[in-house]
Amino acid sequence: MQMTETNSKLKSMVTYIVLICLSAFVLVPILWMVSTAIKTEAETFSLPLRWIPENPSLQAFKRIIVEYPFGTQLLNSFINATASTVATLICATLAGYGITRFNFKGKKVFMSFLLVSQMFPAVMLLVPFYTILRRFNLINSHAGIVFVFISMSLSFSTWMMSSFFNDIPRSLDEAATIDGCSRFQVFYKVIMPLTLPGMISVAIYAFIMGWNDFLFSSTLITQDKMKTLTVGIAEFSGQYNVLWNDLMAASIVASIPLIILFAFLQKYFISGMTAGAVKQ
Amino acid sequence: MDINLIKKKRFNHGYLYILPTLFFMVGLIIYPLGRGLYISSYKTDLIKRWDFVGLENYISILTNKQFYSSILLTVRFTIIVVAGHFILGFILSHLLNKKIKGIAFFRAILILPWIIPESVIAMIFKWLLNPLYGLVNQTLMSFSIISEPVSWLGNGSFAFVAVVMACIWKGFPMIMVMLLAGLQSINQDLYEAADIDGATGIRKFIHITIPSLKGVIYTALILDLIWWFKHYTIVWVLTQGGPGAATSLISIDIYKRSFEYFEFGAGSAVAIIVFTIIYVIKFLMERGFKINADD
Amino acid sequence: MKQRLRRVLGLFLVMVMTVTLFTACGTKSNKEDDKKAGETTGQETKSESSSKAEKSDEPVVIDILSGTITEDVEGKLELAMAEAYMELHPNVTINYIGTPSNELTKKMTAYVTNDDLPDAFTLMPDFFPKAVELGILEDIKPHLSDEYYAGFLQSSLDDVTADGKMVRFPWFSVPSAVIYRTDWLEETGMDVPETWEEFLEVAKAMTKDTDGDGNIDRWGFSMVGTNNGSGTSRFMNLARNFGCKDATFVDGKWNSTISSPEFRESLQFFTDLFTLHKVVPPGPTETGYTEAVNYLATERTGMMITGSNGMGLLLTKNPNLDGKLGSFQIPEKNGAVGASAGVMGYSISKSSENKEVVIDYLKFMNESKFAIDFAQKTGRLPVRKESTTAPIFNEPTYKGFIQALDKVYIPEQYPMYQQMLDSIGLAYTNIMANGVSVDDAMKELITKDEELLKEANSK
Repeated sequence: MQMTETNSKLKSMVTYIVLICLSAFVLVPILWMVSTAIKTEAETFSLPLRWIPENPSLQAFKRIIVEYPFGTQLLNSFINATASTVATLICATLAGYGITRFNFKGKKVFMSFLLVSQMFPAVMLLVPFYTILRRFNLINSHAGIVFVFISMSLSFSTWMMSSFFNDIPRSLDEAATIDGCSRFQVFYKVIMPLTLPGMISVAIYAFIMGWNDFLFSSTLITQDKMKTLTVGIAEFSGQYNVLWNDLMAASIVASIPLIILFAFLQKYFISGMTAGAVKQ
Repeated sequence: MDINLIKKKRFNHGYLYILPTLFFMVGLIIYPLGRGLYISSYKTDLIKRWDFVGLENYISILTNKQFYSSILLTVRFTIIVVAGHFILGFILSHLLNKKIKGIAFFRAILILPWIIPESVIAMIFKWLLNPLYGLVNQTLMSFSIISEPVSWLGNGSFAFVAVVMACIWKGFPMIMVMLLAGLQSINQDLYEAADIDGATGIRKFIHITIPSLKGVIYTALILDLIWWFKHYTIVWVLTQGGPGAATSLISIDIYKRSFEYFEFGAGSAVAIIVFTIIYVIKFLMERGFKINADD
Repeated sequence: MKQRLRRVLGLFLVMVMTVTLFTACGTKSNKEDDKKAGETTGQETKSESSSKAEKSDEPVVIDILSGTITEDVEGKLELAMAEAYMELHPNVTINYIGTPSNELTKKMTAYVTNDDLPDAFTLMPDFFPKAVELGILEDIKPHLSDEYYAGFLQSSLDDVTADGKMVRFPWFSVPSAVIYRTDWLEETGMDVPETWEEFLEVAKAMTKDTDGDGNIDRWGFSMVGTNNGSGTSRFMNLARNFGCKDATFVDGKWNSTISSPEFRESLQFFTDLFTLHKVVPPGPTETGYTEAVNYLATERTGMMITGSNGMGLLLTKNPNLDGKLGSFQIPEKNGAVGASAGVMGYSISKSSENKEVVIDYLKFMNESKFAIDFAQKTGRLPVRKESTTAPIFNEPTYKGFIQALDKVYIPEQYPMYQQMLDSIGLAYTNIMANGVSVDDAMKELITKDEELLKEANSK
């Protein structure tokens, strides 16, 4: 008994040590980003380097929020990410249900197609996307960007949702059908609510994909008033001058909404995945 | 008889449910792919020049030594990055699965890299690795591990390591979360039964954990391979494929051909080849895991 | 209970989803469409009118894709000009599309391939030959009076002319020269270098260990050694002063400078600065323009090849350097062909419907009061004769840049220029970062060069 107790204590010690080491591996770059953001420009280039600046200042944050169209960009990022998340969720949920509850020709093809769609290098999609959006007059619109985001996150989301639905016993469907529900009613009244944790995971995934996109946003947006945060951040590293403190401040501010979102929802995210989302 | 009838009825409904997804997939994936295939048979800048060359683009790419070294480099890069993700992911998912104090805190921290945009991560690493003002060199020098500043991104072998590190840093949380989710869904009764049989931790890991996680591992592995084989952003910002060709991944090659040299035909041809390679990898993995992607 | 809660939540979610789908996507895109429709119709009417009478009050929107507008100092001044112009012409709206320079080409590509170019745009020098070849640039000369045309400095006109067409509207010029620390040079007791040998001696003398800890912490030369436009164009400036002409079109055939002995010599000299003489801070191949300027601004290096805007930038970054900076012409060997004039200015799209308005605005930006002020604050020199009264032309710190204007080299429009630069960059990064010998790098470079020439001559 004594043995096992010390043994398990030792084990949890090891666990903590490993966790702390790896957390440090993750945190050092992030904390350095914070440290740089609260330095003055001169201090970012003064040696020896300091973790805590001599004169900590929030000037960089003030600059990006006051002198910069920060609010607009935040709002744009938010609109794009939210709208694409909602749409992705709808499509993925429907498809997930359809795939697991119906037999139809081409289902196999459809499923492997979802995976295949991830295989084409994204760089080569730029010009075709631009062409499509232009044809439908969607350049510089939220709708256009949202379409692109959906297509980027939809395949993984559908995959997640379908494995999730797979875990819900078919007997539930049948019971509900016998109770007189129509097919669609069965779907949205009985089965879908059970997948709520899964839907939350998908939502978080899609939101992060949309929020963090740079490649497409930077090419498909040409008006200042439509720019998103990631595009705005890139502008801090101009050809002639990089203001590291401003750049880092902007990066931090851009990540905060996601961190908050995640802090609230992470429980659901992992339990959602657990409930079967990532299984085959 | 009855069941057959129901199946027939369901037949149409199924399409209805996948229709929205199909719509986006066709519009925004099939079309670009088809177009890529079409363009790859031309020598074209997409504007003035449209010379049909048939398979010439493919031939000149496939007979080019540089292409193979670039593919080999990409394969090496992908294997190391994905291996890194899985090693970290396995260790951490196990630790995070324990019910000990403060686990939520660690979980929150360890997921951070996934939340931060790639472009930002690349900038952070560039700043950390700056030869004169970077934290890495300053720290190493203050501990006298190195005597003078090292140019991490300005030396072929270091640059590759640095790029790989940044990519591992960015990508491991996703694998960690997927494996954690897998672990949590393993039936605890299995372990209890094993305990009664007196099985050791390693045996439990081999005989219970791994087989139960097979599906998750496959999914995570294939997705991770696909994502990182065609990775672009972090490497581009950090090294632009250099120095020399030390980090010149295939996606950088595609970018340069298309957007710097305006040889869209050749660029598309490389993209199609990459697509094919990834497809073959996926096919082989399916065989290896004896999994049918459809169920 | 729990089940019911879930059901309610689920239902709620469906409702939210459907509502947001229709409101968020539907109405928004509708609104957007309406706006779009409004804009396009506006554009159509305007295009008709603008050709007839540009001074009418029809609203005109001109889009300008700009790489300067995102820079701190330059951008603010430029925006002020745009506002001043819009105040004078209330019917005109100038819409800047700010894009960091390293994203410019990618964005341009999307525009060009969809025939969707903004009215005016910044062209990166490395993209210039391609743009000319694609025929997307309006010849500006016919839009200008002879008198106005003749008002440009000759060096500027040469630099914006391709195939006899004026494809950019000169705005400012950033001739290349060497910025150096006057106080450090004094310390060494040497004269301003005129040859490469002297340059090397000065660089060696400036390189030292200032705090006596046994490590070199100050270097003579801030090299930009990245393999990108910024690095390769700087290297070409050096190579030209060894006598290399980038690429020449003789008797209907393209020849490049790469196989010439001068080129090899310049490559050897350039890379030796780091590998042999160590007068360059560590990691030149990862030192881009911003990093190299930082080294000078933080007093880590003593000399740098740069355009005249580097001077303005340095003084903004470190005002303490005021009075300690000077410039001299890039050293030269016999047969040097000169350095680039670095004329920058917006190109006008052939498909633009507002050419006259754009040109009017670009003329406005070139007015002396703006050009002189802009030059004083940014180190970007005016390009019109009437603005040469700018005090900057007589400032001793800018001496090297002003002198450089007398001997500018205008490269020919080699269609494979971008690839050529890229392979040169590959060669010098391989030598400096991967320990490849100059001979091996040259061998690879010449093979690549022959391929490119073959391709160029087959067209």
